[in-house]
Amino acid sequence: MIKLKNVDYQIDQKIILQSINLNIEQGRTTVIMGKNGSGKSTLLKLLNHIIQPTSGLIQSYLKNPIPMLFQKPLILKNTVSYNYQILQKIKKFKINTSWFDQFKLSALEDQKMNSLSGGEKQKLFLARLMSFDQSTLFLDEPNQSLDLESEKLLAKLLLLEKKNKTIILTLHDFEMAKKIGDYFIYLENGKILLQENKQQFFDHFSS
Amino acid sequence: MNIIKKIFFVFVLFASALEARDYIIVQSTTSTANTGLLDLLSEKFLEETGIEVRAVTVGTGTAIANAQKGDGDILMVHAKQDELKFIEEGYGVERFDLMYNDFVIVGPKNDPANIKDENEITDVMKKLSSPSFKFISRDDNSGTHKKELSLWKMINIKTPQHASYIKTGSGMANTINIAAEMQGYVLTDRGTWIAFTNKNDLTILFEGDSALFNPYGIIAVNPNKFPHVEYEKSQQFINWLLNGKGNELIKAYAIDGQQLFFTYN
Amino acid sequence: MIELSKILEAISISLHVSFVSTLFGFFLSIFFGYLIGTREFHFKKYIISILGSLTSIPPVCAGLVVYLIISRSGPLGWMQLLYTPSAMIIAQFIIIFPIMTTLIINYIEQEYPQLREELLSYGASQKDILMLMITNQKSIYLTIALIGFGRAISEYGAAAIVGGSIDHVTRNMTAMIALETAKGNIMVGVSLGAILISLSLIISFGINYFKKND
Repeated sequence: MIKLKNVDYQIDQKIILQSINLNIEQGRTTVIMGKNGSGKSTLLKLLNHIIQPTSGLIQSYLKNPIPMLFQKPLILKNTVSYNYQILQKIKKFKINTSWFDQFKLSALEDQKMNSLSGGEKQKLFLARLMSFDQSTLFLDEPNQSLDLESEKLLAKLLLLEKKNKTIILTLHDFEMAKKIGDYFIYLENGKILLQENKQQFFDHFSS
Repeated sequence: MNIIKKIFFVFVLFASALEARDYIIVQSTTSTANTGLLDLLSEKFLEETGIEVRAVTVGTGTAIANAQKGDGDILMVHAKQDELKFIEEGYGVERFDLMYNDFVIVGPKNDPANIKDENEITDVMKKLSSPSFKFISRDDNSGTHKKELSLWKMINIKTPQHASYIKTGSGMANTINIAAEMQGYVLTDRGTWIAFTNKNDLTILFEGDSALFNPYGIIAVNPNKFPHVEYEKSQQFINWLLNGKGNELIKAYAIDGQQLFFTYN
Repeated sequence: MIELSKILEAISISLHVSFVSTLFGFFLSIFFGYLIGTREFHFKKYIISILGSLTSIPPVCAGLVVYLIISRSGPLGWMQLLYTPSAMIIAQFIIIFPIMTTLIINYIEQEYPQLREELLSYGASQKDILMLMITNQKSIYLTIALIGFGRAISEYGAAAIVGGSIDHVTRNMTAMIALETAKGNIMVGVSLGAILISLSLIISFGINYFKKND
């Protein structure tokens, strides 16, 4: 479990998150939603120990940051395969290439990163992260730039993953969230407006 | 890698300091340099003696100030009063008369102030002090500027105080260019004028008065005040200019068949 | 007029002096750039502001400062640097160092935070992160070097004051343009100016070419 008690985060006098109180339960998929600029990415980074709160307490079963999917992932000026393998070289884990194969990225292996479309890059970033077998996944807008087909594939793959993993992700659109989420948090202006289970959460929005 | 570069940098700096100096630094003026005379003298002296002459050319005021800071071995300017003061204050050893030419007053061919037929410098200056005619001054503490001020003094004014008296604060070339542009009068040394290739429609309108005499002096910087100066080499150069091949070269230096500088022997 | 050999000499002096000053400028700016850019400390904003304002230092001011220091009556007068190419190198270095350092710091501030965050999540060491950062975009180094070189070779004022524009020794292209123009030889000034502009164009095209091909 990850527990946040009265967590604030501000930078350069600007308040990004305020009075955050929540529990992330292991084994289920938590979706963080909200408008642009509401603090979703910041909250995700806090949960993964990438940044520290300016006040408040975080208790987590994770002791150190783990590999996560950022909103603007690292691009190195090189080929696709270089970018795929570089992080593995640092982490020194064995690669699981199932997502790489599912997204059919071997066709792009030798291309330079700057010749890829937004969607192709995103598929690489997803495959890169998922090449490590982790029991907890942090994903910041995993479906950005993806075309309809790729998005469907992503949803399918995530549903397979969630069976025995803890997944925390941020999303914009409600459809995908409905498909894979169990628990939902809605942020507005850095504060938690709603946090509920799927049924109650979507009741709010249909009324 | 970076540490190696830094060590190299420091080494390069110190290397200059370690060399014994086989060159002398002459602080001189633009009026000599712009004629090309200094370059020639430096080359020939190097050929004959193996001693390199590095001539720095700035305005007279700057040359004197530099020498007073010890940034030169020899001072070669054309401001006799200031040169004597330099010696008096202990910066220089002795002043020698090196060479001379004269100043001329240059102006537009149509000579609006009609100074061409005047015989006395005082009459010329009186005419040029009028706001009806433009006079362009260097106003930069140079030998030429100091001479100009002494000419105004002869008619008992400091300088004309009207908008037709234009102060450029810059070198002879720039000042002459402005005079051509504004169709005004300007005082210049003959050497620079002969060597100047951008005369436009300006021409010499007054010359020959004894007040326009332009003597150049040469002084070795005092080794007692600045132990680092190359005094022997400086003396060698001065002798070469006064009595040796240098003297011949100065006399022979001509542009378009006209001699620029005259020597005393 | 003027002999070709004198013009070639001036070009050679310009190339030599500016190449060396760019070399020193490059390594020191990269070093200090990374030192300042990758860390957080109290004076960081002030230092970056000062560097930024120094990028537009008038060349004559830089020349004057160096002159006062290496003049015989100055603290480093004993080094006999005045009126030597070494003095010109120092003066040009002072002019280009702020620009080059500011450029590399800007690049670091743009790329480093997100690179660092992601690599931290992978458990990368500080050393790994720095190495990856340094080797990631090679074209930026060439761009910075070219910009520094362009600025160094075309400046007039700094090298002229401390070099003294001495024939065969410290009379570089810009000093020669000034001198020949002062003698009325406008055409020489124009020709040398044309060479300098061509050089700037080549450098400019070079920078764009490397940017595109990255």
